[in-house]
Amino acid sequence: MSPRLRTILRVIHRWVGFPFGVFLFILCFTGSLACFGPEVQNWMQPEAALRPSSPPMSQTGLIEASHQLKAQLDKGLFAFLKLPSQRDPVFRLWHYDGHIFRGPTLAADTGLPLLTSDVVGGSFFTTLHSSLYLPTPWGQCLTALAGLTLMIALISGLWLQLRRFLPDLLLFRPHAARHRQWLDLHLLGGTLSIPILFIVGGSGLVLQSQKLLHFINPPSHAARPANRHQAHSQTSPPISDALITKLAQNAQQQWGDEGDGFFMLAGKELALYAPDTLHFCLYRQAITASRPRLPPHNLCPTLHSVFLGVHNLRWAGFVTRCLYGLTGLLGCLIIGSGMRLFLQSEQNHLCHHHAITYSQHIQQRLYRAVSMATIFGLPLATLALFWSTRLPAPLPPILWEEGLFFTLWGVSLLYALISRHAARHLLMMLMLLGLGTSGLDLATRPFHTGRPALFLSIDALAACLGGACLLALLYHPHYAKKRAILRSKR
Amino acid sequence: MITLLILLPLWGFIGLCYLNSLPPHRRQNPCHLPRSTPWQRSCYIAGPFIALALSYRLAGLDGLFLWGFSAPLMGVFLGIALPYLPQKLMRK
Repeated sequence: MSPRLRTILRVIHRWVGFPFGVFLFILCFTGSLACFGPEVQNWMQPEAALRPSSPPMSQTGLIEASHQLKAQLDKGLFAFLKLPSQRDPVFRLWHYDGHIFRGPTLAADTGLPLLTSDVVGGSFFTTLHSSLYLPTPWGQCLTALAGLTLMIALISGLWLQLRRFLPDLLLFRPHAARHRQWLDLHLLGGTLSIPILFIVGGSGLVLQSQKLLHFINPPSHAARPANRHQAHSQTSPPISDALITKLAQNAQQQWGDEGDGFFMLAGKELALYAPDTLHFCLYRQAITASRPRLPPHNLCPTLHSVFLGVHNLRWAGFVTRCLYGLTGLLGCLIIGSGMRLFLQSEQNHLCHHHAITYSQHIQQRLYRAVSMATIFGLPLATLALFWSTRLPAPLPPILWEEGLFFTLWGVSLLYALISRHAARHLLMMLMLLGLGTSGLDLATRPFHTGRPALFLSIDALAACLGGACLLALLYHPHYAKKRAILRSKR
Repeated sequence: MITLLILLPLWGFIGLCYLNSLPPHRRQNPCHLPRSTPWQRSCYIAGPFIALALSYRLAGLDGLFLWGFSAPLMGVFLGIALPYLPQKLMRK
């Protein structure tokens, strides 16, 4: 490779990677959490996870829950009833509020409302992942652009590393200089996970682009039933106990287990939609009173459904989803190390100047603050969100939780802008919140629960994050220096 | 779970065989173990394909994704953990 081409590729990789790395970090982090949406929802509402996952639901519960659905529809609220499943063993009478799914939680055996507070739940991270909580189409535009820049960064990075791709595949030198350590870590993660990043990032990019295309040029569905907004204005259809029972029985015959499916209005009649976990390709199919059997169709009817299957992985087993989540966190590590390298090289570049201008100084501080707010501020705001769902809320719960999340994230950016010790302080707060999550969990939920593994695994994850921050603090230059002074005094 | 328990050591073995096959002038890597043999070389070339077939056979489509996700995670773990191994376990 000629030096000129190498320089061009380096410039592209750095200047595309850093600004959009911020968004990519958010997408990777929230994507990892979105893999475990029902589990996060249950952690935030511990009353919903007091009983074990099986048996999922009773006939009485289903009938009672359908009465609750009818009451919601009569009020003019476009609600749907999500059936209990292994991952989420309660009825959810949800409606979409423009950002998240919310609504009462009903017991699987009785169908009566459980005393749970309304929380943002797992769908908060899904929305943050798909649209960054921005209004349509700006969120989708930004996410699609981030996906595109991921492809550019991956291709330029791969090209730069092509000659040493195989020989240095597992190279990591922990005893080398700090810059070299971070570069090795960036390359180690980046080269090994490049096929996965291409597949996941590429499928996400295609899905977002399709959404944008549909927004620009809405598809016409003349032959299909009226959409939910049209249905919203109509009076609710008759929902009899016999209809509910018949649909549930039909579902059981056709797709085995009706768990995780949902009852929703489709035009003028009530339909029972098949669960997303049914096939690899995500395709909405429903049975109604007038159409009791699913029409035969291909396993993957559209290209869109294939990409949904690849990107969402809702069909996958628990272990695969765990590894998918871990791969997302690996993506965070790659992007975070890349940001660290960018900051270091910018600082080195400034060191060669005799005098640093005020604008250069401000620029440097801005880069640093944005990196801090992304790498430390986002996990901190996430942990604070988890805490806020378990502590008394001074405002309406969802407003309070969302407000706290975004305020804390914003404050971490401001603090990183004004303070030179922001990294250390943010790490400290992350450590405290992470290590304290288990205590908070035990103090704010009944000790005996039907799903101890769920609470234990989320607490353990938070504790791991806290532990990692503790280690980072111990090796932080500030404390290392203090330790050296103490050692020399002794 | 069983598929993952098979895949992880398999990827670890493939990684070690790969490291051993590196030529001497590339041996700046602190992760080197005993010298390579032709048998090891064929193992690390054929290993991923065997792992792919095995995981598909054991867990179907889920297995393919497990194969894909476990490779980078095991590789990163190996890359980070091996340099911390005691020096006496590594032959120059």
